[in-house]
Amino acid sequence: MAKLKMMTLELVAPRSNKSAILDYLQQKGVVEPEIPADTDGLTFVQFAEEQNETREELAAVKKALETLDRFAPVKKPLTAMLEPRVTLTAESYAEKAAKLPDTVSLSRRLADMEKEAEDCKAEIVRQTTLRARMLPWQKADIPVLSGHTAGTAYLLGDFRLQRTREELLTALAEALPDNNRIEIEIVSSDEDGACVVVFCMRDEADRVEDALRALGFSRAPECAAQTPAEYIADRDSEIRTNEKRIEEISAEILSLAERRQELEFAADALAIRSDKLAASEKIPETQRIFYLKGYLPARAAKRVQTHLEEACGAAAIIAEPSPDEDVPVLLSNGFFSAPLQNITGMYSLPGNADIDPTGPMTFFYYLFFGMMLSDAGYGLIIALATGLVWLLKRDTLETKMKNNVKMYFFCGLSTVFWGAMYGSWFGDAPAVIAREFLHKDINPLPPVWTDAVTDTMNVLIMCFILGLAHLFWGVLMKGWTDIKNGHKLDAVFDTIPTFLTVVGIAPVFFGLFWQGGEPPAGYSKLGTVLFRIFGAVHTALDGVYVYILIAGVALVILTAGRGSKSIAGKLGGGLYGVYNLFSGYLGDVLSYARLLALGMATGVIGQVMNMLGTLPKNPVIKPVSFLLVFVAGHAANLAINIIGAYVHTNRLQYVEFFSKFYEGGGRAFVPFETNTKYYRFKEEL
Amino acid sequence: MEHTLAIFFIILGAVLAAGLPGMGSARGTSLVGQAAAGVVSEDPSKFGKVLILQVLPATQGLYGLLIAILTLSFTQIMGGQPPLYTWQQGLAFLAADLPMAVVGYFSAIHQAKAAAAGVGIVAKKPNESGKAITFAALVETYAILALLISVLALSGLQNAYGIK
Repeated sequence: MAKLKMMTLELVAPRSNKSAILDYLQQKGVVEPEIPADTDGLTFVQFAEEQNETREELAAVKKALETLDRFAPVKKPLTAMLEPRVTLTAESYAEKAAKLPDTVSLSRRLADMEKEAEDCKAEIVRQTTLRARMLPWQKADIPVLSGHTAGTAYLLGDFRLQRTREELLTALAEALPDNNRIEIEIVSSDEDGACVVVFCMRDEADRVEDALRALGFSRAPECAAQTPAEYIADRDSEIRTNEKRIEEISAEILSLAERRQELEFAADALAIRSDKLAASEKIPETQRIFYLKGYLPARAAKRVQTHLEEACGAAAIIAEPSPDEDVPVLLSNGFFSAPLQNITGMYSLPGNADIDPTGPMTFFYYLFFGMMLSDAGYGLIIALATGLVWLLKRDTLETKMKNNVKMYFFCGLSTVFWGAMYGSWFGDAPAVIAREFLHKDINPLPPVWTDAVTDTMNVLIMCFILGLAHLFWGVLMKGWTDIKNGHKLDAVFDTIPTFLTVVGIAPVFFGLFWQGGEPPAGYSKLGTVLFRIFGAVHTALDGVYVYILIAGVALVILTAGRGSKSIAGKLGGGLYGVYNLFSGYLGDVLSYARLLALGMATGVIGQVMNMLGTLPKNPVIKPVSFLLVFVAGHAANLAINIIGAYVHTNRLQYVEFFSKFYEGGGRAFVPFETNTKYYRFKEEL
Repeated sequence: MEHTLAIFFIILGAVLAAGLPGMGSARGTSLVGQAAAGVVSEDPSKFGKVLILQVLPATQGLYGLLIAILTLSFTQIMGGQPPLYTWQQGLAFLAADLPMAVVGYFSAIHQAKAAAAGVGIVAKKPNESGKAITFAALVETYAILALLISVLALSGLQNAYGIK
């Protein structure tokens, strides 16, 4: 029901047992080792080489799994998220671990195969490019190779533009007017370019080529002694060979996909080994023994101590941590509260002087969530969906997931409650269906209390009252924290003056919103009762609230500055306390208006959806359009408002409630354990 | 005609009360959200902590909505037959909405700046996120004071004009 009691563990054991003891602690996952403050005569042994090797192997295995994902993807159904991981016992772990070197070499082989496939793909691209460059020459029946005879040179090349023989000759004549011994043959010419053979005198070849370059000439790709047709055929056969090799590799990788689980196990086992090496580096040793200091929950202490002493030949001392020690925090709560531990953790874990706020916030957490979502239909959907998951997977769900499921189940129930109070079932769907389709002007599910959308002021007042209750509960928790820390007098001074002052000023505040008189006609029975009770309390306080207020303010002035030494300091502190109280509580109480605002937003949007669906007049189209808009519209409304309800419930807890008593700043308990992705090795705490 | 003008003023007031703080909150949550996204990209486990900081400047939009609804409800435009108003009365209701409209807009943006700076605290010292929330929450005080004045003025006008 609170922070788990932590103990310190000091352990001395022969160095030869270090590995076995670490294995045991890692598997239990209940001890958080820390580097001891005093390490005289002890040395920290580094395992850089082993660690590098393990990490390198882990990287190879992870890469192999990625390769498998690419070549043989496994389709996972959406529900896979809820499936538990397979739990391994110590025996099956040892059995599988024996195959580890084999698996690592498998992952190396997979890496090589993927590399070869990548090379083949690159080679195909290269061959395809070469082939494309030779295509314009495929009509030529000689090797495409520039060269020369004793006196004549011949140049083969292409232009990027369409060229006629006349154009080229004219251009060459202009560029080299003293040369008329040039012959040009067009091999092919179309809009993509022209392939030409140019004959000229050997000693003029360079000048001719320069002149041609100016026109956009470039030499043909070389294909040795082959004709272009032969060259292209060779490229095609290269491409086919590589394609075939890729297919072979793919098939081979596919055939290895059945060993995926082996790889997954290796990934986990190597991660465990790497963690163990890292932990071992932080545990100092001498030549004979090693010394481990750490924390563990008191309830696991006896079991661990016994095992360490009896089975591992270690000397283990369990002791209470000293009060100034920074002890890590682990929370443990009951049925309704445990799911909310995540919420506390998101703010900050309790510090040394704090109580665990999870239990105290539970009731208001579910209450406020329900008020903000406030639609019975939405609540039913949430409760049914999460309830079903909880029921079907109760044995197999992992703790964290289970807590989320449970939290939303309770939130869903609370939402159903408030939806019924406000008479909101998918907005005003019951009344709309009765009116539009059954032609009866009735509301089959009238609000148990009142409609939040029309009876705004009364709901607002109730939000403020609940807010005040929440804040007072926080102040009580402050008193409780004081008592826990042995400050009994503070417990009185921190609570009673605040209660008196706030209760004294409350009637003035509520008078702003409260119109009094009789409840409106047609008000629900529950609403009428609430209305009369509030009216009676309000009237009863009317004569006395001034005295309560004066008493409260006087007490605050007298006590709020009690921390100061001087009389002036005490008085100043007291006056400041009064100011803080008024400004703080005003803001805090008004902040609970969001309970109404968010609840009303859900209701109004829901009503708009129902209205949109029933807009068509045609009796055939109307039910269809209603159904479509109903499903899509309410799904969207639910999705938006569930986030709003969650976030703003958290805010009310963190900003308004926690600020009354809670400091936070605790350090999470991070045990040395097995952090795995695919399998589960850990025994539950 | 005069009655219509009065209704126009009242509606304008409600629109400003819901609209301006809503705009401020939108800008504010966006501003903090951008800072928060940076932190989450480094460390996704801080999502919950920065989300709370992002939500803080969302409150002004809700307060604005509240004043808009109170305006429409007090003047009986919502859920009833509004009595005949003079245009001066309409203008008075409009004036009553202005504190929330103006302060709501600016306090949302300024609160967002404090909250965005608080995101930096969460990034470097996650255990101190409570303090980051306090810094930003202090700015909200002035939105709450404006809300209070708007409520007081609306409720006073309702009594002064004898609307029931």
